[in-house]
Amino acid sequence: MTSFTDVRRRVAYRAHGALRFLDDVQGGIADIEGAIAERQYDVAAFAAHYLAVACLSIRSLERAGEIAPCAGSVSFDVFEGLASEEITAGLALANEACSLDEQTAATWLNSFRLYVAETERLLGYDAPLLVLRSLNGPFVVIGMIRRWSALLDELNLPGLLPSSWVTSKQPPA
Amino acid sequence: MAQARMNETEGIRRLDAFLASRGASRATLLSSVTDVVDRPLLVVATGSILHGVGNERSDVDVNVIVERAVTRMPMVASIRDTLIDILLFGASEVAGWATAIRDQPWPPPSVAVEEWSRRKVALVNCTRFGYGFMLSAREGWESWRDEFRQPWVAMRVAEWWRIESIRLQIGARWLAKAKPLLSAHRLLESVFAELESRAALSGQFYFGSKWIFEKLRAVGDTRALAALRRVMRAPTTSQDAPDYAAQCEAVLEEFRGGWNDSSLAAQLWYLPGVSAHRVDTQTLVSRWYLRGIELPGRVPEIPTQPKPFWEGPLDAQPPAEVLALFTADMTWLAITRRTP
Repeated sequence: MTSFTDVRRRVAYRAHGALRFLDDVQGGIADIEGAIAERQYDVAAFAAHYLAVACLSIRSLERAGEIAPCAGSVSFDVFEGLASEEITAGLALANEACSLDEQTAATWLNSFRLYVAETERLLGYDAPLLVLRSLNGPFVVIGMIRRWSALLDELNLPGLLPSSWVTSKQPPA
Repeated sequence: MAQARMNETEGIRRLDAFLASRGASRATLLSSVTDVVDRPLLVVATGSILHGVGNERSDVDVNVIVERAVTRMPMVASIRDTLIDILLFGASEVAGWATAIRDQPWPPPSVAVEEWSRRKVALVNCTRFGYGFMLSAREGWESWRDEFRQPWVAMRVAEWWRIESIRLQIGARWLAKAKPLLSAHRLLESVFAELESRAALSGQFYFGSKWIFEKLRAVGDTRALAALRRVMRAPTTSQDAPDYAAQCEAVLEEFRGGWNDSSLAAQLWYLPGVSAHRVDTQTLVSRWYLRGIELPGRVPEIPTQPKPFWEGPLDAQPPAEVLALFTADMTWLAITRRTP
């Protein structure tokens, strides 16, 4: 059993945290693996930085983070509500990728995979989330929307439909 | 443009090798699209491999224009075990892209977040259509695509990243006192954006930010690579943030200097979901009623129709209550062109 005192925060974390994981994190591990396989260590370091920050933003959603960050928002606080030790642990792991080489890359990648997996486990689902980057990918998100939409509506929280999926018919300014 | 064309030749070679290793060809790739999209007007293979910076695990993306209006919901096809991401665009949506981007410098006098997103999507995909590999075209759409192979594209991409770098730097400075660690990380992103602008001017204008190192390496920009490596190890605590921020500011000074453009302004809009309530002498400001702040006195009124509520020169710090709204992530920061 898991008990909590703020139902809206809990639902925000589990629903939007899962979508953010699918959208921002899940495919990033494959990017890092591809970069390491071709010894593009700088590329791996860049991807690790973004992935660690994305994982922290998901964890922060459980405490005080923003549920629906605006694309490109400079003030979106990815660290909101997190303990300093937790922030340091995530960022330090990403920083280790700045000095990868053939000897260290595999061990580091394993540690980073575990960190990402723990971020996913904390979301509280019974099983690992389905893979977005797959033939059934769009249906994974649709399934997530179906699972949470009624409760999100009832709690007056933003829905899960990614803004990037919305039709855009107008020419750019 | 010479660099872009060189990338293109190399990209096609890499695409062919990538497909051949999976027992496929460009014809197979096209069939995988036409199996799920009826009578496309234009089909262009794109992605990091085509742009000369990807690796074996990279995706092949295919941008497709069709006659009807479409949503951005992703479509996926496959060649054996390899996934092909298909992104659909409606003809009416993209028809005006070239003139809108080529003839309208960025930023305009007012930039709501929707405008910012639309411009970014258009720029990302102009470069993808222009420098991807055209698999098929009909009814004159190859001419539409050719427009994105002109020199103005690189200029507009570089301009976008330059303004983004300034926007991130200004926001970081406003955050420095209240949230030093977040501020330092935004300054790192400002450095990324500035070097993206520099890479674009050298012909590397593919929009995948994770490839910035590869792009700088491809154009032999050793000075920018060295600067990027100096700041890549981001601070992990608020105590480390000020020294790190100074390093990023030094890199920005080295590659850009100040902003040197008095026609630009900073502009703030309330974000969706923000509400404000007066309680005695204070104002409670919330987003989605999930998180909030209490401020002494009043805050600028939330307009019924979206419009900016504060604007000032780039070097002006907003008044205290406005700054508090910004640092609490209740606002969208835009950079705009002041009207004379």
